[in-house]
Amino acid sequence: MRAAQINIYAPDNPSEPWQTGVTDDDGRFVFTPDPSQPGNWEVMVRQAGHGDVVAIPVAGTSATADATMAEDSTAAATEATPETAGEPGNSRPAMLANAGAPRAANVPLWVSMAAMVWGFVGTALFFARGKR
Amino acid sequence: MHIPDGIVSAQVCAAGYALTGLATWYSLRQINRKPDPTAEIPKASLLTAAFFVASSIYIPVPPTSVHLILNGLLGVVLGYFAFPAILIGLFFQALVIGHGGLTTLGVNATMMGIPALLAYHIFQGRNTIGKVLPASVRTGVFAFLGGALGLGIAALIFLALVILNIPADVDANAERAAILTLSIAHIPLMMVEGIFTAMLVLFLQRVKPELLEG
Repeated sequence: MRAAQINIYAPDNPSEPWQTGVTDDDGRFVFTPDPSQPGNWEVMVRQAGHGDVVAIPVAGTSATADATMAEDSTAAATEATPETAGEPGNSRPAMLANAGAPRAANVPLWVSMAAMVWGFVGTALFFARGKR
Repeated sequence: MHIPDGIVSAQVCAAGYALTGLATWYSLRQINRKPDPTAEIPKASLLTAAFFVASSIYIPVPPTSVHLILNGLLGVVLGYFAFPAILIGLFFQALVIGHGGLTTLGVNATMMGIPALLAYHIFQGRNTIGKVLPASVRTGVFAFLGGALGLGIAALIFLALVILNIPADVDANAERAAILTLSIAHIPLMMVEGIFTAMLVLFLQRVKPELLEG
């Protein structure tokens, strides 16, 4: 989404935005989370009543980081460590793993859509048989 | 134009489900009063498929883009079957394509389904106030009005819902401007869907006029 509003919430304060911004022409937004605050950084994307909330797990560099969290989200955490940056609304499947469309895993969208349409057509054919 | 999860408050979601329940009950009761309630299911099922796919067809309207809704068309062609058809279509759109959401299913069904029922009554108006028009253009004109106004009313409900639910943290002016831009972009879409509805209805009238009697 181009020129969508971005609000970033730090793990310790989910009510006040830590940083706000606007996506660029390609719908991207880059930010650097504060490594001293490990946990789920929430990124809210919003434009004209459309949008999403993406949680980006960040493993802290401090020794107090929650061990289980760091273990569970190794891939996501390395993606989102301060050296790299979050790009909500873009690819990066590791970071978007817990957001986005609730879709059946690993099935191309057109296959599931074709299956749905066939279901509707099948229903139509079933009821079009007429009364026996 | 679907409202995704997390945009409107829980109260609005609950009210949406309540209205959807009421409208579904009313529509099913009207369907059940027909001599053969199952007779129109094939037509309804095929148009549900069209509705389901239509939201993936985007039309660029600079500076934004809109997708087909077809709720007015479903209302005109299906009558009271339109509401359950839209409800089922929206359910699968939320599940498969990720348009809308399950918590906002009721809100979206109300937003698109009730204007569809209004579109049906607008189209039925061709037999009453439409009598002033010559018979040759009456059906086309009222089908256009049903298709266009069904979508237009839905777009107005969308506008009202999202403008009243702007979260406190975002820049309200920018968000309002974006919402207005998106809503204005639906005016050309109203024309497109109105013309499409009129073409479909005129085609059905020529090849299978009994399909429009329901």
